[in-house]
Amino acid sequence: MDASMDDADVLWLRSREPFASMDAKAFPRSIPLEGILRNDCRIKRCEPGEIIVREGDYGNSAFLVIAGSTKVIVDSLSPDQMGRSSPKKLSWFQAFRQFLRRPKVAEARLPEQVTTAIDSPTTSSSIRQIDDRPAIFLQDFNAVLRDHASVELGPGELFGEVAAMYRSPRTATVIAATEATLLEIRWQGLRILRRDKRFAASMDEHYRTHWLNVHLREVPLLRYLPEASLVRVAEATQMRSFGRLEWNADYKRTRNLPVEQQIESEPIVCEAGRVPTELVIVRSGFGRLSQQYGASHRTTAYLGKGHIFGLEELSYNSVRPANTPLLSLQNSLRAVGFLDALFIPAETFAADILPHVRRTELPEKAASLLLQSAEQRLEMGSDRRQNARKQNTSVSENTDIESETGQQFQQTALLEFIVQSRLNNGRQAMVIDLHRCTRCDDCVKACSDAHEGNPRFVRQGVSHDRLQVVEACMQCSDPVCMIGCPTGSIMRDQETGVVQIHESICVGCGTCASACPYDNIRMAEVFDHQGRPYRDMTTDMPIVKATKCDMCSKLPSGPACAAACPHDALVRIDLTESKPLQEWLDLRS
Amino acid sequence: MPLHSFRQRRRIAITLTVFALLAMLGIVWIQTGRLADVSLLTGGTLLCCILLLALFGMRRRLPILPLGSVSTWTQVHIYMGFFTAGVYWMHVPNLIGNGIFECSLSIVFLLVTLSGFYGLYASRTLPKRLTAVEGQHRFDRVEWHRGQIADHATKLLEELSVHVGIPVLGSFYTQHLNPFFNSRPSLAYILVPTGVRRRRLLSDLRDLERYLESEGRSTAGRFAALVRRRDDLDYQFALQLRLRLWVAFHSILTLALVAGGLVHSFMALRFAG
Amino acid sequence: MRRDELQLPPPPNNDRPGDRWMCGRSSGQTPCVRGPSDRGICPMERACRVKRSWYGRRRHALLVATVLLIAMLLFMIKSRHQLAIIKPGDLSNPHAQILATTVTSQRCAACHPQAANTDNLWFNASSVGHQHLTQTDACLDCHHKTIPRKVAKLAHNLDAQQLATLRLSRQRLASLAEYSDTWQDLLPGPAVDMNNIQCATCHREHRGSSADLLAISDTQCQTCHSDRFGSFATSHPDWQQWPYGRGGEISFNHATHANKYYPAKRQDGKGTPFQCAQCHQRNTNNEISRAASYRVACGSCHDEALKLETAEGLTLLALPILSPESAARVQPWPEAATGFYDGPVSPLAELLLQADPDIAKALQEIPNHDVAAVETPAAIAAAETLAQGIRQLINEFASQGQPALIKRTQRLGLTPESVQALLRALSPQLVEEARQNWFIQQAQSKLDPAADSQPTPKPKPAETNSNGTKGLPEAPRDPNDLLGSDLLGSDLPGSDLLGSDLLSGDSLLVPNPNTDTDPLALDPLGTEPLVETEPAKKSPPTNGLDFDADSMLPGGGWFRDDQGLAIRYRGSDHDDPVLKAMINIIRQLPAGMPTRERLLQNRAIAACIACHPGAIQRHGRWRSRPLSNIGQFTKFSHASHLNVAELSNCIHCHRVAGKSSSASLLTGMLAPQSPHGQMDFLPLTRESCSSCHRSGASGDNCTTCHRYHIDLRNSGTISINH
Repeated sequence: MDASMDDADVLWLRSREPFASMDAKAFPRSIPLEGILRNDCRIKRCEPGEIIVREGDYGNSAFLVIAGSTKVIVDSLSPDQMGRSSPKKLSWFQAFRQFLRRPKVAEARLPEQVTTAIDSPTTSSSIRQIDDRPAIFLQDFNAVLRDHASVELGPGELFGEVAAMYRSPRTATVIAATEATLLEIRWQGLRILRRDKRFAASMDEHYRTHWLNVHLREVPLLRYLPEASLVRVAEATQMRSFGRLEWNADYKRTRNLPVEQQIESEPIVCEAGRVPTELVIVRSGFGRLSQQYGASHRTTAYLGKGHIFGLEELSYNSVRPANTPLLSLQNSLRAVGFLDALFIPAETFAADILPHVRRTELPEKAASLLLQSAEQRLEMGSDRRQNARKQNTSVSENTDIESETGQQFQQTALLEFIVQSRLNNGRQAMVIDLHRCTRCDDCVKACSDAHEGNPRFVRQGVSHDRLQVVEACMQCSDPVCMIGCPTGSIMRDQETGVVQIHESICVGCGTCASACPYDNIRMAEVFDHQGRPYRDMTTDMPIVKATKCDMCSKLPSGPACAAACPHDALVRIDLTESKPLQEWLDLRS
Repeated sequence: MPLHSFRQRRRIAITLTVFALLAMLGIVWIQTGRLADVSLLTGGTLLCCILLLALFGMRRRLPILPLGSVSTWTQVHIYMGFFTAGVYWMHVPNLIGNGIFECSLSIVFLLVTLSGFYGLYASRTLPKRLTAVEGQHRFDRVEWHRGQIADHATKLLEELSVHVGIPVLGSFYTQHLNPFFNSRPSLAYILVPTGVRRRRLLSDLRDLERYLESEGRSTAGRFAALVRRRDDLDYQFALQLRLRLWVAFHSILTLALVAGGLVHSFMALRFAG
Repeated sequence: MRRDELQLPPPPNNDRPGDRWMCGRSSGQTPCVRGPSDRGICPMERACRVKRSWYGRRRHALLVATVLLIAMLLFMIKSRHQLAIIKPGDLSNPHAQILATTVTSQRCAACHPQAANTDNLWFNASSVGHQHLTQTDACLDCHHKTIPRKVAKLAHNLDAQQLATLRLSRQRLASLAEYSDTWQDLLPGPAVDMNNIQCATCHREHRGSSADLLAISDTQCQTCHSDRFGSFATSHPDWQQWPYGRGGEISFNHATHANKYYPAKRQDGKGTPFQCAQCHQRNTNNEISRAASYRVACGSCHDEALKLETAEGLTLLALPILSPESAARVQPWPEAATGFYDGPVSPLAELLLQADPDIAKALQEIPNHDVAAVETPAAIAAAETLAQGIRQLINEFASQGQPALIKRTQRLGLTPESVQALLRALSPQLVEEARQNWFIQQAQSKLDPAADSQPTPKPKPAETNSNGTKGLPEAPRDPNDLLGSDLLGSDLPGSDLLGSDLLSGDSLLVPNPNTDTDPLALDPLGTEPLVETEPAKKSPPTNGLDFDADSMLPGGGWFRDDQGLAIRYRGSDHDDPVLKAMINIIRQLPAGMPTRERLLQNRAIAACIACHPGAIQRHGRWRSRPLSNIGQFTKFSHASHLNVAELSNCIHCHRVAGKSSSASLLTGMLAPQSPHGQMDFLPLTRESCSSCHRSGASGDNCTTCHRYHIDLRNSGTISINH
């Protein structure tokens, strides 16, 4: 990771907690503790006011405070304070004026769009070079600390490990209060460090107490569970990860493999034909359901965050008449790239979860079985059921949640295509119906007009049958591009879910662009309005900025590309679910 | 707006258009009956319709404002176009006007209308033909692709190390492939893209194989692949050009139509009565 | 070898389809990051030749097209041929021909006042001087002859009052006919002001040289009408009498001729059958003539009877017979006119004498306009005054000629022309001769028996009376009266002749067959053609002075009747000029005037008027023409219909009514106005028209039968002829 760690540093670290008490024998010979410290860790020196992690960021590393003091800001800081210009919606008139005054030069920027001036009164943050890395600072952080409640983290305390391990956004912003020394540990390192029982136990303990309940609560199936049951479920729940967290690197390599090889390369989570012992709830990452078909596997569905695997079999097995055989798993579950899942044992499911699941949400087989037994107990006429439904629907929380158990399409080929290309990650994928697209490029032109003359995508991309998925940012549900941004300039909007780049604090490092497995982020050299390139004063290199689709969030019109298509050929669509695309296809059949 | 399938949408729109036309026809009939100046009525309607139809071009050029999606506008444009053609038929005594100016104007209108109808047909049929051909080439990049293919072909020939194949493939290259790769497709091909050219070259290449050993055959195969690719590219080019030309034709004539229509209405109002 | 193994690099993904230029470095190399500037300049040191993008090419084409368009519009505005260019279509042929001679620049202005005085007719507002000039005025500059300017813009060219009249008569009709409620009634009313209808409302120009300027649809016709209907066949309002009942100046009863006279005449196998074509022949336009001439159509049957009637002629004046005492008082008075009071006053003389107020008064004193009835002294005095007046009249005419009489009649409001026409053939010399004969010779002969002439004035009356009833002075008058007044109903000169005849007793038998005939010869076939009068009158000429009008004046003419001491006219036959002139004079006399009534009772005149009732109507029409204004709203041409074989038979449409049916038709509303007073045809039904006149066949447009423009200048009144 870093060549800056030398033996002295490793030794010094080894002398300090928690590494001092770790048992070196617990680590395999190929990956010794020292190796981890050397390769997967680095010492990071922070100056007062530096923002270490930001709320909402995705990160793949945790931080261990070694010296100095850091503060966790309990409540959220405003985007401005973190150097992010909050995107303001333009009025019609402003949008029109901007359209008319769009610069003639490609990728033209005003100076204030290129960099955050240190003494600018409008922003309270600045970027400074610390050692060899750019760091973003909170201006006047004392005032910020005074105004916001904060929790101090002292030496020996670890933070950011949940975000790193479980691919979830950071939940709070951490600022260096004094000059502080931190050890940054990559998720690979963290994983291996868990071999140390004590370290692992403390981490697990931390996760269970702070996060597991939250995560379980987020699962829709469990939303009616009483507190006591939930505690029991949490106790029994296991967490496991499959595949590589940085799947995007793999994917770029394996995307052109034949399907059967790719499926083979995916780590298997549960295999078809076995009797299910656990209910699998996907917490993050993607899963592929497949069945043996001929010489290879045929994909039957894909799973995303919050989806559940094995519900049908488990629920059937729980309520089946005593003398009937157990239902075994119909599909194999494999991790597509990376899969992080909660495993709830079958007994816990039967005892604590099944009684609290609404029957309409259960798979048909189990539901009908349940109904049969229920009818013996009390007459449930269709009328009463209808009434019950009506009552239920009046409460917004009680609505049924559809297709939790996997996303399917009528055409298997389309499903294979989507999973193969990992398009199930896309929440706002740009899909073109090639049978209606006249290739007029009005969409690109509209994008160009909406972005001061600079199109943010090109009408190219993988296609299948009549569908083409254009290389425009899909606003992924698992935004790998957001991992590792040094200044936090790439950021997901909490309300809209749009991943945006705040150019003024973008340092043009290209991390995001290279991380994006779909090539949807482009690094653009920027110019002033006369066409002269901006150059870094110290290196004299041209300044580049990451550019990508921002869903036209500033414009009053919404995505200009979709609005500009004259033939109903282009749509921005959520591919994490199969329903929208299926409906969209049905409209034009 | 509730989601309608395209078929449903078409049915609704056609019904609406037919109703509008019938209503217009009724009004015209009544107004003719009561000796009102019907040409003012139909002419006014026609002008308004044409202006609204022309506004579609404005909308396309202003993608930044939330003025409704362009596809909605297209639907309105299409069916209003049908309506306008109907109103035109009610407006003019003859299909083509008598005077020089009116004659030109009506010809322009008919050209715009016919190109609109053709465009509707083309934009519904050509995309499928485009999709059927491999490669989603962008129109502005077609020349780049052509250059790539031509360069690749040159490189293939240069890389050929077996001396036996060089005269065979070389002469074929200079005689047939080079002109094919390095020139634009003929006008005839652009008008009617056919597979004749491609089939001829491919069969010629296959005929050459008897004179070649394995490496030469492999090169010939690559040439064949390039020929196919180039032909696909030209096919895409021809169809895309057609799709783009009619839009340009339609919109430029619309300009003339709007100008002429305004002049015509001005004169009609001035000389009325 | 599959081409899948062929790896070509993906195209650069820095497309900017919204730019007008793109990098010229295409083949092989990747285009540079920046691309050309907005003006198409490559920023690189070794600049490439930039290319237009599709968008740029399109912009370019648009620019060129715009420039071309502007150029064309400018050419159009500024060109010499501007008018030819903007002309929105050819004019109809007649208009085009007229304008062909106009200067090109003025052609538009000929009809469009807006274009009147501008070189640049695009941008100049209408000039002030021509503001109130409309296109219709321009139309009327040429068409004022066919449509008066005053009424040109009125609906049907009728003013409000005339329209109101029409509406009333229409309402009267509507009360007879069923008012049909159709959905067409729900259509909105006209979009034009009824009192300001521009020509161009209906007559639309610039529709090409062969376009029909007169084309107008039924709906357009009906838009103003309160009762609208659909097609002619199904819902056109029924008519009651059309085309009959519009009358004509000739009294002719088709029914009686067809049903009675002609069959009766045919019984002996001779004569012609009743055929329409015989009278209604086709004229040069292939139209059916309304009537045939008398000679062709009527003469063969009616000539003899008519001659008999007209032979009775007119009496200009006749000297009354005065008693010797009166004659002495009047002095000089011819002896031949002395005896018992006698002699009716001829109405014509009465007319001439009325100019003198004294005589006019005296005329009133004479009972029954007959001196024979004179008994009272006052009446006797009046008779004497009358005699003096007549003598004076003779003297005036003899000495001054026609002007004297014209002067007299002018006071009655008669035109000199009409009087001249009456007297044209009457020479003053004839009158002078009569004066000489009656007064001067008498006076000279009296010079011999000067004293006796007065007291013994009755040698002849003595003779006449000696025949029968001698003692009674009135007795001989009785047969005269019977003959003159009762039997003949008019002052027949013949009766005077007979009355003064010695053989009058015998002659009573003779004239009866003559005079029994109806004046109109209503039953001419029933009478025997007694043309030759009995030669009873021929015997009396005893001396050279005797004059037999029947034999000597077969062609008619004025003559002096020495027997009756009268100046008379003998009519010839049909179309006698003097009788016509007389009737023309009668027409000028006020209705109800006693003299007029007496004149009308004249046999010859009554015979004329019996067939020509129109002659004494206000307009004095002799020839057959429809009374009402034919062809105002309705037009009809037989010519085109006769091409249809079926229709060439008149009876196909026109069926002569039988007696019973004709009686029922007497209720026609226009009957009182019609000289016929009745129709002798069965009504023509709408079905008989609509069997052919339907859309797709002969056409059922309003304008097929109806006119819009009503021209009242010739007729003055309108009527509606349903």
